[in-house]
Amino acid sequence: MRKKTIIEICVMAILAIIAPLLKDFSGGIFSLMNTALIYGVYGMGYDLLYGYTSQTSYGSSLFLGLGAYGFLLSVRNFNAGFFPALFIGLLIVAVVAIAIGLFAVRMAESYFVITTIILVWIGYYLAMNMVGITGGDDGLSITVPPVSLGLIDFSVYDPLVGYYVFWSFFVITFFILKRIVSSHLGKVFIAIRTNPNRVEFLGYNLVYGKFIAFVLSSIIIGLAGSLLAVRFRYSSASYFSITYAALPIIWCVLGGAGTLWGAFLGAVIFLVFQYFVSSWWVNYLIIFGVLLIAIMKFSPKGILGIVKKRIKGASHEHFRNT
Amino acid sequence: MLETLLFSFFNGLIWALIVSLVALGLCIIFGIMRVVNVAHGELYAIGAIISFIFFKDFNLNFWIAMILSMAVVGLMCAILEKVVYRVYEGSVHITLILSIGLALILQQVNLIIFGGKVAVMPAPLEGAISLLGVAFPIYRILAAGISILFLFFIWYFLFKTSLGLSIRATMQDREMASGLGINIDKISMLTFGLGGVLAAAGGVLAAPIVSVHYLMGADILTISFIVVIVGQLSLRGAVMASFLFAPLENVLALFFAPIIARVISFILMCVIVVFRQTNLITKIRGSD
Repeated sequence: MRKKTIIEICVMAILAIIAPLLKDFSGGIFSLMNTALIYGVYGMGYDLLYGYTSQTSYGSSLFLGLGAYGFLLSVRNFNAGFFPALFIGLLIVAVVAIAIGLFAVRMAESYFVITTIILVWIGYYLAMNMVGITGGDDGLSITVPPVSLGLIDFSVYDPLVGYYVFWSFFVITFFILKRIVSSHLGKVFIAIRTNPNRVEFLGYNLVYGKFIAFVLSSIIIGLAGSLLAVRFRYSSASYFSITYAALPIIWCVLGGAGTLWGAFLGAVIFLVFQYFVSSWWVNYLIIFGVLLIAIMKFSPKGILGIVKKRIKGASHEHFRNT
Repeated sequence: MLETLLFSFFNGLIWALIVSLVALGLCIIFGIMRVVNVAHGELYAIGAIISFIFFKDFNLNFWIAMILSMAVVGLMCAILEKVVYRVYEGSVHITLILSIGLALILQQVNLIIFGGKVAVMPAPLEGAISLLGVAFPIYRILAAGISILFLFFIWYFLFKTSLGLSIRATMQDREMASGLGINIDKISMLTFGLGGVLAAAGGVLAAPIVSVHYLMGADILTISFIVVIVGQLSLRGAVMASFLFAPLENVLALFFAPIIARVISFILMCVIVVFRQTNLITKIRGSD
């Protein structure tokens, strides 16, 4: 267990160190890494819901969009600072997530999926229609306020500072989620994934566990949305679209669900792939469709699942975490 | 004012018939295979697109194009069921991911064969007749008639033939049906093919009413899912619910923006779900 933590810290440190080196590297890579970190936050938030409690939601982009617009509109309209705007964004996301979660998590799995799909379409069309507030398809842009930590102000317009802002949010999110997952609550989440009926037999409240997972994951997804708004200084109704809802599912399945790292790995692979392939083939989503089906068929636990199996298979420890 | 109201109400009734075709397909597929078929909207769109191509590029008659497109989509679905879903039927969690993958593929295929354009399919019959003092396009009445024919055919097939009996038995208890000698694989293939045919039929019938576009399935998928939830996955319930929601949305769309009408029906769905919650949850927990 300790070895794993050391590896994780090493990876985080490498992510931090290579940034200044890659900044002057040819065009795309650095910008890709920025996006990868934000997508990592998005993917990990989704993984808490999908990988740990096995609730397949197709509606995560609703919270992504709300987070982005919550941040953007509070900066635009109330001239809020960085952290107050972030707070307002996350508050909105939390309120909506609680309202939806109250009835959605009670439903059986298939109904939950269907409800989230309906929600995401409604959110998308609402955002597209309320042009006065959201800017519709064209979107709105902002001047991102400086990140003020007590005495010092950082401007995210310096690319390196921007990168470290996203990096620190990524690291904080990762360790908070890791803490949650290894806590008592996290064990209940994993139990919900493994055998929901037995969770109830043991006296835990199944609906309550699902609800907490849903709200927590929505808030983290909202954070990713706010960070996207910071990253591009812009937000449009497309953040609400079903494409953005499908992305974290692709990442989790690709990288390996229920591992936190898997979602980040999947996001990196997706972004690199998109970067190189979308330039010569517009319909690259077909490949991801095929990939989703192929992975589900041959290795439902994703890339990290294969790696884990190799390691664990050698040391006969696979009973512990499955 | 009254005329507009009546017109939208009639429109809503016709829309309800088309929605119930799509929703029935969803219901049967879920009932037999336990697959929440997210790709169903794409099947609807692909039906409309194929018939449009047959109609425009091959200069075929509208009705021949319709039958051909239904056959193509049905065959395609039967093959897809074998290739994609077969092994994992029964597990909602895995098949959902598979169907998302399928939806991505089909959506992009639609985009490739049709492009991003919005096209209007000319109705095979022009002219209007007077219904209760409202001039109503004759094609829409014909479309309603054909949809009713399809619904009747489905009812007859499911409730009056021995194959339909096997399908209903499989819906009730998969293992038991298999134990009684029903070929589950064949039934699943047939069901998914039938679902595809129904979706394609809905798409072709709707093509002259709404415009053909590669994302046209999104709108109908949302209302179909609402209808399926309210109908609690029963076939009769789905048809009844679509007759509640589609006219309601059409009439409400006169007073508000269409999306507000959709939000209202979503809230109505939530209210119905909450009030009939016990039934819904126990029923599905038992079968999941």
